[in-house]
Formats: sequence, structure tokens, C-alpha cells
Amino acid sequence: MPRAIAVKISPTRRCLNRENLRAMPLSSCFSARLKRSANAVPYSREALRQDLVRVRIAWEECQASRARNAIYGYLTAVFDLVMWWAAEDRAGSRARWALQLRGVDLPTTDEPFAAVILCTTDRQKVDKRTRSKWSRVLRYAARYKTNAEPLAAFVRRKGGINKCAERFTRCLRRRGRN
Amino acid sequence: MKPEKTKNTNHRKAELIAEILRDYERHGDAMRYLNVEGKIAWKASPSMLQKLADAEREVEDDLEDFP
Repeated sequence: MPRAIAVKISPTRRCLNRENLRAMPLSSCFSARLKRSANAVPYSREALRQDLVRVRIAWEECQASRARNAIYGYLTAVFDLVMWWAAEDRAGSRARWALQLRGVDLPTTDEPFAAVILCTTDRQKVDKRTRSKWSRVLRYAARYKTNAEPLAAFVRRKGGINKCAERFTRCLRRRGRN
Repeated sequence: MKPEKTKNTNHRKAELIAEILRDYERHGDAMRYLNVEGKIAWKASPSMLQKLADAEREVEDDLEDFP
């Protein structure tokens, strides 16, 4: 890593560990440069593939877990990916790219959250209805959640997955009427 | 106004950082995300954190062998 990073290493643990890395204090100059670099780095096909692999791993972990709230880990992975695509105003095009990369030929899936879910789950386990429900939940969160609040906390606060999906459907109906 | 040399140095540094990030991202070691301010930022990927944890454990095991 570049020398500008100031890493405080505990005298008792003389190696760079995960906690150090997560809490790595960046110099303000380096931090600002990193932020500028976010836009300067082109998003490659390989990077997209790696992002989809990460979301797929989140899906497999969710499937392997017996915890009631395990699905939030997966939904958060989908949400985080699409949200940064959306911040670059590329959610639609990258979702189509992801479908293409996975060899999925469904021109009707033009909604980014649904597309990523389709690319990263098992179709036998997640049918069209479930995909649509999860996609509505994520679109609802995209519209009303603040960046600081974790997705799981937001969805629970709003009454759970089914309630959020209903709320979003109501929003769509209201918008349709106006 | 900044001298031309400083500008060029900063430009080269920015290019180098972009190159490093692109490489890390392509290999699945770094990823982008939206931070609490709603800006795109970078962080180590879960697989990178796992690799570091494994490396840390290996070093600790090695240190135990050499008291």
C-alpha cells in the first residue's frame, strides 16, 4: 500500500491485522485522493465479475445459515452493489451487462435489483414473485433509507420484508394515479 | 498557482493510485461502496480481509515456533 497511509500498530501485536486495516486512519491528503480516484478508475468486466462473485457468496452463506435474519446479509450485498452503480448513474447498463455476463437472456428484467438477484441466486429457490418482492424492498430502501442506516435495521424498522414490499407497491400506485 | 513540477507529481501519484485500485479490484481484493455521505469510496473486500486473517494466523504460528 502507498506510504501515505499512517498505520498505528499495537506494540503487543506486531503485525497488520484485520482490525488495523478496517480502522486504518488515512492522511487527509491520501483520503481525498482516494475519493477522487473512485471516479478515475474504470469499471472493468473482471471487476464486475468479482462483484457478482461476492454477492453470490453472500447468497450461499445465507443459504447455509439457519439464522432467521440471514437473508439480510444477501440483500445488503445486492443493495450495496446497485447503489454505488446508481451513484455513477450506471445501474441500468451495468445490470444489463451483468445479465449478459451470466448468459441470462431476459430482456424483460430491466430493473437493476431484480437483475442482480437473478444473476446471483438459484432460480429453483428464488422464483419471479420472490425476486419481485425483494426488488421492491430494495427500491423502497433506495428511496427512503439514509446512507448511515444499515439496510436490515431500516427494513425491520419499517415492519419487515413483506411490509416494505407492500409499502413500495402503494408508492407506485400513488405515483401512477398522480 | 502551483509550479508545473508539483502538478505533474500529483498527477502521476493519482494515476498510480488509480492503477493500484484497478488492479486490486480486478483481483477481488478491493471493492467500491457508498459511504455514509453517499460518496463512492473503496474498502478491502471480504476475501482480502480473510487472506490477511490467514496470514496473521500463520505469522503467529511461526512466532510460537521461535520463542
